[in-house]
Amino acid sequence: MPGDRRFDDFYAFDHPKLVAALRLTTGDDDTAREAVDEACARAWERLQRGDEIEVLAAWIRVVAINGARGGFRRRAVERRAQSRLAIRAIADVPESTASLAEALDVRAALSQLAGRQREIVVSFYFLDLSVETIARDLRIPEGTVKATLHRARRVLADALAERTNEPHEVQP
Amino acid sequence: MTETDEVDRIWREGLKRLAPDTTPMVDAEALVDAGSRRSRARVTIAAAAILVVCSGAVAVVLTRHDPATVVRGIDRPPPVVVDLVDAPNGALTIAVPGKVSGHQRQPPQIVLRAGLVEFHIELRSTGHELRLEGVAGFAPVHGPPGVATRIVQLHPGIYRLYCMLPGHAEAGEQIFLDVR
Repeated sequence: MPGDRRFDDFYAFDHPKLVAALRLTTGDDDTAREAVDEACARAWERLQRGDEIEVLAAWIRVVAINGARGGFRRRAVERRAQSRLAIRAIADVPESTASLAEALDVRAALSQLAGRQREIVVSFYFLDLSVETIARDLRIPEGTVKATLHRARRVLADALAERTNEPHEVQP
Repeated sequence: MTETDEVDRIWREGLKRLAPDTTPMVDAEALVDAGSRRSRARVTIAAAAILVVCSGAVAVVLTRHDPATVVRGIDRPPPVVVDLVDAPNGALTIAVPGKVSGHQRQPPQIVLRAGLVEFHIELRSTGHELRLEGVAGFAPVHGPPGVATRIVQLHPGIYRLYCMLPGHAEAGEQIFLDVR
């Protein structure tokens, strides 16, 4: 079966981080896992049919992000009722009170961004994808990615300034 | 480092901090080990500072079972127990137990161990509706006065326990649980 080894590598190295990224963008465990599982299943089917997938991890990432967006839409009504995006977090990183406060600021900033904006921010800062790759994956102009990142910086800077009462300037 | 670089750094580190844990909560060996050390001693960790906010009060007392207990026929690490009691005058107060990362922080934070967390909630008045954000198993708790229990499995992360009524959380009726 072609692709076996690539799936092993994907599950070993890429799967946990992709699930984590989709949890950040959707705020929902089930949506994140379902989207990644569904994307993996589709990839497996394509490979069994003999179709070629050039970069398996990238293919699954794009399909999973699109799938998670659908899940996000389905849960939009419930989420509006909750009024705020719920985002879980890990705490296995030794931290100071300051870093925890910053994490809470990031959490607040992320909740102020729309779904597509969160995808861009998480892809750039968490998945370490380039502006070019994000634009290609999401089929949007690079300028849109850059503008979104600029807005994200400003939102977070405002959150930091509000907490510390010190202005954080963001260069364009 | 420019301000923009600093904000980028905070985004990166913050998202890593916020990224959910994707590893199994408890592995099979840990379960066997926990079962072999069965003991039901309860150790109260602490009960401390009081934060008086808005119109009300919930007292939070943290208790830990040690080192193991049996839940639904399966040996598991014991649950952390959080007792919440509102104030008799209807005011909502949060008494923060011992393991608090900074009493001066607003809102306050409690550090809990990941795993089963058992909330004992005693509402002595109406006027509050408590919710644990992002945890589907924690059904909102509201009046009439009475006692409710919520047992949830919390992965490492930051959770917000707050009053859902409009304006209450903003007025300070909230606490962050830092689960590790």
